[in-house]
Amino acid sequence: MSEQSSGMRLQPLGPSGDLSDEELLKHNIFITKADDLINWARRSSVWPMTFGLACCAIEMMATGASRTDIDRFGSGPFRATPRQADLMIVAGTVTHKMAPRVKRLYDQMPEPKYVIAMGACVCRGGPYHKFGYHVVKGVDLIVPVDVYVPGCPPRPEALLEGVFRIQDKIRRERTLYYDGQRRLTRPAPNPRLEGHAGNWANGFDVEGADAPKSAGFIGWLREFLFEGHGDDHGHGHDDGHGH
Amino acid sequence: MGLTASEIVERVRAALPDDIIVATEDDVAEADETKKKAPETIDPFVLAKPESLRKVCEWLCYEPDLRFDLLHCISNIDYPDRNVIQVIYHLDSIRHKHTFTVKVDLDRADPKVESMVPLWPAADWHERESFDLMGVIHTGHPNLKRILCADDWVGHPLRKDYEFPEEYHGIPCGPYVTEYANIPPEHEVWLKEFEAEDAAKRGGPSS
Repeated sequence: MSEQSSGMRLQPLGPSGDLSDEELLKHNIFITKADDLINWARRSSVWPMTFGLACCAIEMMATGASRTDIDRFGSGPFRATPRQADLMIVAGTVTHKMAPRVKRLYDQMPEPKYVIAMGACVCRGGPYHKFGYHVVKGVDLIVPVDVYVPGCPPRPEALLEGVFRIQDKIRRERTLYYDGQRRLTRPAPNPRLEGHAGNWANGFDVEGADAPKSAGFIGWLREFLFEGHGDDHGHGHDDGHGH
Repeated sequence: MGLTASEIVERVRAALPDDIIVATEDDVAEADETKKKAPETIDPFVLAKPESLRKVCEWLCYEPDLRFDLLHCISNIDYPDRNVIQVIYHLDSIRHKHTFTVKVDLDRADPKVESMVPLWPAADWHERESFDLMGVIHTGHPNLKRILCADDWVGHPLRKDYEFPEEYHGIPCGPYVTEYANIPPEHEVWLKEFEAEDAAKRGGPSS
């Protein structure tokens, strides 16, 4: 009631002559879980990478245009380099000639990273499924796919829905409580890859046991909380997985 | 407008009788039969001998009344039963506004024909495509390498007897990859959570 009467003015930090300390805290502090805060920040700024392979890229551009403005959901900044991107939207037919390039771009993205397979070609080969000698029958043979958006091409609303599903996944991630399974959402290897050498499933561990540690503040915080900050050695470079 | 295709055929026949293969009576009859059914489908053309294709094309390019100064396209047809790969040159004259077609039949085991790049620079990429997808060797081409498929691709995919590779660089690429991905159990749990959440958003339990 007192808040209503006085209005929601911003209060200066520190002791104030007008308010008691208790009331000042009420105005400036809220309590939440760290994971909730981190996930809120991450899912509100999923930056995609700028690249399109075929006609689906036109719909991806339309998704960024004014009618379905993807910027409303924090995915507006299409980054020109994989180093700054969180999300790879594979928009368009992936040919065998293009496949190594797609894989390389995925490898260059920092963790955590997500992949949307946009369109019928990228999901399963689409119209080239049976007789397309030059088309990779689904980009999940090359990189792990988080969300499949079917359609030929999918409407912008459908791609937007795919971004929402990515956000749903991020909302469930546990960043600080590191038990070797930080990314519960990473897709399992495709059974179609069994017996084929050189696929992505052989390239790195998908269960997350060897998941690279986050750099920057999150990595520092996790190390501080869980990985023996009292020890005199092993700042950031110890091989053992923390508990 | 320029000359009709039939008139051009007559001109070529008169000028270069030894360099073209004149259609047999059977061919003419078959073409006539087809033309009765669909009159627009068959345009007269010239079937050149492979060794004198360059001569025919040069004549078509430089003869003042014809002046075929533009090469639209080069297309290929594979005839395994006749053991022939046919290369088709679609020509156009911007000056005289007429079009014409020259064909050449090559041995399927060793398809070799002279490059037309010196005559029409537009032939460069068309001949590379022809080499890439059908395996025709265009001798004298300045840069005859694959243009669409990857450089280390095996075989020429648009031949009738082409067989799919099992895999390419570890990626399975057969035509009948039909197994579906297993959904891991924890994903199913999540899926149910998503659905319940969606239903809650819509304001009621899911049916």
